[in-house]
Amino acid sequence: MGSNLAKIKSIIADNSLTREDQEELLSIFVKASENELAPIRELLEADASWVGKLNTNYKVKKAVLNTGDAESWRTLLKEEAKEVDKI
Amino acid sequence: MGFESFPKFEDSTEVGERTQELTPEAAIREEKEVLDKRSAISGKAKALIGAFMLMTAISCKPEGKFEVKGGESPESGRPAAVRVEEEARPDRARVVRTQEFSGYGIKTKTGFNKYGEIVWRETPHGREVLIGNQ
Repeated sequence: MGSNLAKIKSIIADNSLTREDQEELLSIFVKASENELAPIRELLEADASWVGKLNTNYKVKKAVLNTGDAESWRTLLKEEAKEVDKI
Repeated sequence: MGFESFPKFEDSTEVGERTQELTPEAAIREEKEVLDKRSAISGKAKALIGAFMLMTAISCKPEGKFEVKGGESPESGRPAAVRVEEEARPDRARVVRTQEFSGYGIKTKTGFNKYGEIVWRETPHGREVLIGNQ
């Protein structure tokens, strides 16, 4: 296991997400490369509350992509932009 | 955070009215267009953008061709449907675990695939075997 994934796994394990959500989130990250995981690690190390937020972000994205609803996607992107602007 | 207020994301049928078809390619492109405008900012913001875009990329990846087999668990007798990854049937083997879906939750059980096929998914704990319904 790469160092980024190992660190992310540790942070997620310490989070209050349900076990199922923790496992689902980890199963997402194992699909990513170490390079792709670098920003995730950086983000979670700076603020572990992003574990829950990324979990929600992923679920919302999956749901919207399942519907294929472009307008809902744009609404989601606006929320993301607001989060980025807040930092 | 705004994502929590997004309408009933766990039930994909209730996420708004479909107004325009969204393809994975368009989803990735639109997100890049929106977030790229903000990329010349702090390191933390760049990390967040990277995280969002990774979540999108993974959301857009197909999870494999799943088929749902109905029936009931031989152990509990309850209705069960197990997702089977069509892309992961390299051989026939004894199945070591089943997954019984109950609403949004998943319970793991021991048993055999009636087809004798072994299928799996990658998990943080390694390769987890899924099997068809009994």
